[in-house]
Amino acid sequence: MPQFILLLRDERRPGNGFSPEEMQTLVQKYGDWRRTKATGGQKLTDGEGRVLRKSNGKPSIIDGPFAEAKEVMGGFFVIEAANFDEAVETAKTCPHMEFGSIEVRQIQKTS
Amino acid sequence: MNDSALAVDHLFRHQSGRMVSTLTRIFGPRRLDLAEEVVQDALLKALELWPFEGIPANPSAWLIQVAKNRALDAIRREASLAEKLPELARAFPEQTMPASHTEFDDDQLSMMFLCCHPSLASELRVALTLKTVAGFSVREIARAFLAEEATIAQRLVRGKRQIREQCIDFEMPSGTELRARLDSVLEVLYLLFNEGYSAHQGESLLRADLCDEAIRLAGLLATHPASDLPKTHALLALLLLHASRLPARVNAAGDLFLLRDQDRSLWNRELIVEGLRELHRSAEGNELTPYHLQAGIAAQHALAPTYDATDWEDITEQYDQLYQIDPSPIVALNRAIALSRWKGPKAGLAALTQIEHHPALAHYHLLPATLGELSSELGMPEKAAQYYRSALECSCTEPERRLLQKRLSQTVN
Repeated sequence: MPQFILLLRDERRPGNGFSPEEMQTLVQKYGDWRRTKATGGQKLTDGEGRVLRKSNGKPSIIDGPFAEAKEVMGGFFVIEAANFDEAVETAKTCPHMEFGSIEVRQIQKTS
Repeated sequence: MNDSALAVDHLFRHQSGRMVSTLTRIFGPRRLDLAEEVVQDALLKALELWPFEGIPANPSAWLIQVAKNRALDAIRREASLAEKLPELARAFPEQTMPASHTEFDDDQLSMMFLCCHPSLASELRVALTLKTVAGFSVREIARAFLAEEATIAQRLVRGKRQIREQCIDFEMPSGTELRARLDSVLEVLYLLFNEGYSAHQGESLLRADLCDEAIRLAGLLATHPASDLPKTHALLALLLLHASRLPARVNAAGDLFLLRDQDRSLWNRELIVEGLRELHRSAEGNELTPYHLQAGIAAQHALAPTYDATDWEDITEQYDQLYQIDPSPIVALNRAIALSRWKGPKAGLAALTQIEHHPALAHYHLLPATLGELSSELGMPEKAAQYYRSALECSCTEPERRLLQKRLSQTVN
């Protein structure tokens, strides 16, 4: 079964306005989704990152992407799906849709 | 722990109340804001990580550990907090379970006494208790009390300022002071429950939470040696007995059912048994509080096989006693209703004429609604319709309004 990666970009973070009860509901929503739809996933740390690029033969390293920038990647999920359409349908149901965008990419098989 | 267990336990909300209480003890009531901030950060951390990593095997311990780390950060940031370190380390030990449950419980009780301190204005007490001990957000409190969020937020700010300015201590009072201050705590729980009990459409779940929370906190009080007093048990009995009727009070469509029309098979037997047990415990000692009498009345209803077969004589007498302690027009109104079931509608109407023009009842829909019922029973439909119309002019909840309209159309036809 082809594997897809769902890159989650956060437009807004669930902020301090959430009550404990609402946070728990959200954790459960993500949890239910992850358990039934995803085979893996990780959270990326906030804020800090480096972008490397070779310039004039030497690697140049810059800080970024910045937390203030819109649509920072917050984490990813891995799912299995028969094809792209099915992967997109699954991604649509992800609770993350409330907080930002999801980029769906297929993971290239090695064989 | 699976996710559904998390939901049943209201883990975030309860753990928030526990941790805020314990951290307020450690940091001191002046730093209530800091305690809340630390706990909010810990919950946010869970919200960020658990969606990806799943819920840890012991979510409570996880939250406590993260809150502890956040508290340590705060101590490092502020030199004045350095002396708090040993107590923090003791109360939040490394790699353990919620230190001891009793310690967290004790802190929650002390927190209730802090939030319900008699020197705080009473509307501040309810808001503070819900926010800190019960883990409700400003928005949830506002929705539950049909108030503006800004109003609730202001009350919380004022409450915390008064705690600071009046240097209110974090401690469980004892002896005569406890008895005096316990009244204020019981009153807040009673208010909390009543808020949840009055049905408002659309918010039924949240409001049931208020009832549950009031019962949980009253239960904590009832099991603590310092507050294990007859009146605490009386309040708990009252709350349990009323809660037992909740499933029959409102149907899925949000329609309200009065006691007379409720399907008694829907009443929660477990809560009734527990309520009666608490009522029994409340009978020790010689103090008779309004809670005792209200619980006694609720018990009569709980034990009655039908509305008509209720011991209305005993209920009327208990209302008489209640009126001696609390001579309010609402009690007089309820007494008149009981009397009308015991001696007939005429006796009820006669009793009501004495309070009919009481200014406190001028906008209270249940007075004209009751007058309407009794007039209708006495074969005066026009009079009854007139009363129902004036009841509809009072402010009441949507389900109450629908019920009154139904009565009105039944009377007119």
